[in-house]
Amino acid sequence: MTFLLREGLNAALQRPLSTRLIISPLLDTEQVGPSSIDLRLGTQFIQVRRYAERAIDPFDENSMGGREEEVSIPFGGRFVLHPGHFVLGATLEFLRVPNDLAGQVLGRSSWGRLGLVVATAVVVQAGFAGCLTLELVNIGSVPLLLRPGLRVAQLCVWQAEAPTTAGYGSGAGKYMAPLGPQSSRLGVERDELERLNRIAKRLAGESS
Amino acid sequence: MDDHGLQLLDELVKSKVNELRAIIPADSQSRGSTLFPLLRRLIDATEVERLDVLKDLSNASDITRSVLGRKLLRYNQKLDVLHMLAADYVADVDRRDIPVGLLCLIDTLIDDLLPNPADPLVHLVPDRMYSTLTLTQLAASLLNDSSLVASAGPIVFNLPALDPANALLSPILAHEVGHTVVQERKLLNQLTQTVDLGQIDAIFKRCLAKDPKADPSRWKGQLGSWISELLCDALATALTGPSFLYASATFLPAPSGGGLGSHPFPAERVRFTLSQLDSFGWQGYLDTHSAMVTDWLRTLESNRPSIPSPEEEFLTESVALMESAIASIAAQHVVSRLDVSDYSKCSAELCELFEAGIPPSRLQHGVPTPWQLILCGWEVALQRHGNSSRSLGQAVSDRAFNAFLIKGIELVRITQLWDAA
Repeated sequence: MTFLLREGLNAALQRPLSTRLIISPLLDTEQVGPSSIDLRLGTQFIQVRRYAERAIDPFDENSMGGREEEVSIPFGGRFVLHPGHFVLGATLEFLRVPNDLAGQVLGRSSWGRLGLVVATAVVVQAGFAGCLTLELVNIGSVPLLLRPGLRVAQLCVWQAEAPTTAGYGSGAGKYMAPLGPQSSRLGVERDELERLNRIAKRLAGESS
Repeated sequence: MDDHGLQLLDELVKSKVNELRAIIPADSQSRGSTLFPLLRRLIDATEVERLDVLKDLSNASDITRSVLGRKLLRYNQKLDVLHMLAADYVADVDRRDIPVGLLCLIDTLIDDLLPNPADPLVHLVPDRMYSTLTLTQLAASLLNDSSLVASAGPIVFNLPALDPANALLSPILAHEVGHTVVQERKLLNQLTQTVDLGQIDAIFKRCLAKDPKADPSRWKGQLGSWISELLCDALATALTGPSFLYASATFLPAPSGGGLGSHPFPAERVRFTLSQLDSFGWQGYLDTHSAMVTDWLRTLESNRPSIPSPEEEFLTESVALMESAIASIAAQHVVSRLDVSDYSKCSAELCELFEAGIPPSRLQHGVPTPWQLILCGWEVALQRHGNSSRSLGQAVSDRAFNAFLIKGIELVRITQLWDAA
């Protein structure tokens, strides 16, 4: 794997369409830095209604029912993230990572110093296409004013020696070409839950 | 009216004023917020009138008290109208439950069609219908106060609640905004100065002679309404090109006959739109990219009744006479017409991106317009669904594809705003 610097990033952005690293829109060429590409905050957010009563069971898709609220903030508008508040946002940019590249999303340190955590699921798979979901948390002690279009994250990119034949888009990827933030879909992994339940029952039997 | 009745009315008016004031926020710069000063002004005026009545009541004779009582009753009814306006529209100000791309599309429509900046308010309605209305006009008509027409207030975009952001049907919205253009720019007046009214009058007299029981004023009203609708169609066609043909043929839907009403027959409108597109140079495009659909739409004209009623004969012959003038006046009032040669420069790249599932923002030739994006959307959708009449329906009901187009419009608009700043 080769870590791409500015020249490599620009070359990946200029390839023929089928293998191009897509960042749409790249509003400013200065977003391509020495070793990463800055990504902007998009216009859509998902927030959890905190007055809901039940706990979240990540393996039960229904347990999120009615709990989440989608909010759209126009370009030029603002979104207040209060201390301790967790919302899902997305990148303004639609990305497509070709099968020979993979990426990592990191928060920008300038925002980190204000208490904003931007992303936890940091790996961008080869073959991914869509807007990246950002897990936004204000861990500071004062509210933060966020605006769509702000550069909040950065994408680092690695180039593989050979492209994968089964990139993220080629299989049954869970987040196929999302156009905004996507909720957790752990519930889709139901077979794993059933296996975990079987193990739990077996262990309970052994201990009794 | 006795003292008890007057006191009750006064209390009701006072409490309704307070109720309304409580739901109107302080000054806001949000989308649709010109509603607040409009409502505030109307409430304040009512309150001033109520206080005047109270002052006059103190030493009024029985007759005067009766007059003042009727005034209070009127204020009470006026406040009920304001309650209705507030209840219907206050929650629409700065609403955040609709895609940003839809707001971008509405902003584009306003920029492209309306002579002055407008404050849009998105209102979701239960019927599957698109319309626009100027809230000051609605208030003027409900409150019987024509002075309100000139006031500042939002323009309401009524959109179908279950599918408000259907990109492929959005050219219908261009038609609806057209009604505001027709009114503000006085396009009907312009048209009467252009066409030979003597010829229209001759048709009128000839047809009227065939139906002595007809109501001539109704016929003239119908003609004004038909012309107005066709002006809006022409504005939408100039702005959005073949997309309006596909969208209107699907939405009406094209083969439906319909009775003789305020709108021209769908087939008549389709024929008019096709003729306008041909004059703008889109014929080659239509034959290449939607041959089967276009051929079918061209045959619809023959669906018209072979023996029209005298009224229908008057309407269709009159609009036929004015057709080119309608198209020409409409084209003059569109800021940037969708041009076939501009579109052909970017269509290949747009289609390539669409096929790859990438919402476009910048192209080699610059930032595409939302209307270029929507036309390419129709092109790709018709290709994907088989280029038949059925494919028109399949295209508009493809929710994922329409969401993709709305995202594309958002990205294009943001890129335009960024570059212009």
